[in-house]
Amino acid sequence: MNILMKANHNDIKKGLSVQTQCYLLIGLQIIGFFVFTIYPILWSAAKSWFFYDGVDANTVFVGWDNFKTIFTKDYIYWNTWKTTFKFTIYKTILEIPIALMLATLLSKGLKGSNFFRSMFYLPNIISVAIIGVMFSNLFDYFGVMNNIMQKLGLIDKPVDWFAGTGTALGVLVVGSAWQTFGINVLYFCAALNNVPNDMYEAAEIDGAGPIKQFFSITLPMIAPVFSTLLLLSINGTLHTSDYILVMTNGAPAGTTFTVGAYMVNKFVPGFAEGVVNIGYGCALSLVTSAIYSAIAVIYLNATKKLKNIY
Amino acid sequence: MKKVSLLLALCLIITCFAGCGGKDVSTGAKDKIVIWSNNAHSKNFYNEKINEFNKTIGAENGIEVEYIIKDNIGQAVELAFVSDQAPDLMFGTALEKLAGDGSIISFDELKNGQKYIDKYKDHLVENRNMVNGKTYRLPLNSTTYGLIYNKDMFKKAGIVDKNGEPTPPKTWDEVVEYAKKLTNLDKQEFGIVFNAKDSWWYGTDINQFASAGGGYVDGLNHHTQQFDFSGQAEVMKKIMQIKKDGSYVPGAEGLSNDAARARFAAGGIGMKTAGSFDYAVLTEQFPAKIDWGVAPMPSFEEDERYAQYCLFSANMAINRKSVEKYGEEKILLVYDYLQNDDFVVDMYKAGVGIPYDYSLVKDVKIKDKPQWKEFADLLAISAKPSNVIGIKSDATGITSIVTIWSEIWAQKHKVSDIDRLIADYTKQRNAGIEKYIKDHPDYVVPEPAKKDTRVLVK
Repeated sequence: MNILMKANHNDIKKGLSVQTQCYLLIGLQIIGFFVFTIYPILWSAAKSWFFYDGVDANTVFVGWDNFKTIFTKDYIYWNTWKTTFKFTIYKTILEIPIALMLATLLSKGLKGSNFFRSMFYLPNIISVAIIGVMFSNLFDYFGVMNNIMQKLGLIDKPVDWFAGTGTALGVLVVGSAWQTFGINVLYFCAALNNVPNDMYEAAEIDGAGPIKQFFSITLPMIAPVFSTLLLLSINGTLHTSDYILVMTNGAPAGTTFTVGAYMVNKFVPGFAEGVVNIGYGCALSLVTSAIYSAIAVIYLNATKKLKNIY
Repeated sequence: MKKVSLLLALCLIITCFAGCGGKDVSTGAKDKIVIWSNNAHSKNFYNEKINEFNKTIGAENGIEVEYIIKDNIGQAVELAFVSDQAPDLMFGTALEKLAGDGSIISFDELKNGQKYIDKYKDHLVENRNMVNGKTYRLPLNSTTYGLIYNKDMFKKAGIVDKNGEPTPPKTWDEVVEYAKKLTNLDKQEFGIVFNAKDSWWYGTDINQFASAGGGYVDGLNHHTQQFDFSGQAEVMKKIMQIKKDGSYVPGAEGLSNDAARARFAAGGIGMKTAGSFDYAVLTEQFPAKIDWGVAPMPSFEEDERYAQYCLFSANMAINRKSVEKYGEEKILLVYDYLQNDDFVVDMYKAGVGIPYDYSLVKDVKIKDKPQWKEFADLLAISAKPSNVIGIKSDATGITSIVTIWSEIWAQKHKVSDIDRLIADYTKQRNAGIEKYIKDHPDYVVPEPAKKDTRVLVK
């Protein structure tokens, strides 16, 4: 009995010691998380009930006024949600199928697959500012795209890409999809690698062609990963702000502002013109966070079945 | 192994506090006075002057000055004060906040501060130099604004006087007319360029440029303490006429100010709105390939020109604790060296800053910087600093005039609706004044100006 108790005591001592080490190692991250994430969130949430322009002496408690203004007067904010949803849907429709198709090709083990995998990922490491400058120049009125399209006879005169909401949104979608499709290719490659080959062999024996195999085997097998990828892609796209600010800054007439870009442009000191009611901006952030959370919950409930499809 | 992991963990934690080191206050026997600035453009000039000071006056008085450029200086200074690592002298501060919490000291509190207040009293402005009547920063430079124009294009289009010299537009009607004359689509030449991508496009091209015609900058009439954006509405109509004529560089929505300046410098564009900071841009950053000049802002009527908008910038604020640490004499010795009239004139000669007072450089001759001289001459027709405090207005929930203008430009509204839209906006902003007063019972409504602050210069 004593030996057992001694053995258990030693085990416990060892466990505590390992635990302590682990907590020490991640302690910094936890402290950083509370200081740089949780505290600012709580500070911002608290300021939502105030008129606050950066000067403490001018700070005044306004109760629910900021929220009443959001829901009754700020039609621009709700219009940016429409733009955000449009941007997200168009980008997802463009990006995900292309990423999946390329990942499927890469998983065939063709020559140069590794090279192409790296090349597809490269845009992901380019900064948003550089991408903004690149695409602004590409789609400039006197830029390369108009030049090429005129030479090919596709257009008679240059297109003013950023003068119309549709064309500006199109450029934004193309640029953003170009930047982020590579990471989705990698994720899909990883998911496809986990699909057992014998399933394809069995399907081939049964006479199933490549397309049938793709829809009957590949898609269902990667469904759980696919749903997570889709959530990450949608979530990331919904949060887009700096890319919009660099590319169009909301042009034309603020119609390409996403929610995040609108809040930064109008309510973040340094970006916004003149003195702004930061308290109102905080209230907007709170409402926006609630909507993002609701979207995530709805999505997770809707895709619950995908986890157990196979 | 356990000990190694524990040691590693402790090292990780300790290295994170490495950035919390204290300020190095002195090198040897000298007091090190640190200056933070956000003006990278004048860095070389300041470094030269400070080296000069360190070798002469600084060496005699046991002072060494260190000049550091900081990005995002407002935030950097605020954080530095919180962690007690603030510099001794600093540019670009949130004046009201730092004065309010006692971080910076006013000249009124300094034993020898009154002589500065007396010297600069005509140029001290509330919320730029002063807070609640106390002086925290002295005036230093000014930024003038005007219309830069391509002299070669003007000559080619025949827009010249009897001596064959190009005549830039004096009124907005002339801007519209000349822009049309200068536009030649076959040669890809355009009358004017707009940087419609930038949020501050309205702020400069419309808000500030309405001033020469009698528009109230930021729409506030200090005499009535009410908003009046009618001047801005007039400028909007002229710019929309330019758009209708097609006399501007297409693709304006995709053009930032940098891109617009680069294109102007390359040629093929007749006019652009600009500030005196653009002199360095068009001589160093994007050296102009054209012969260009600077003209005053256009007015609405040729025989009715008002003092045009000018931005006055302030010199450094003084850290209160630095005066306690080094003594007022040493701090003022440094401040004075970087503030006196000779320094300000040298800044002008170096092409780095136009003084706050035109009389200092009116007769100073500079041969190789004609456009810089033209920007400086605009100071003579610019509005002087005013000490009238603007009344505050709560604009929460009101569609901003920047948004309204961008919708007008995108033709979501007709030109004939401009007056109605601006009148509606004005009404809302005036209602915002009452709301601000109601929500801030402690707010002391400032005294209105005794008369209209707009000054006729012609």
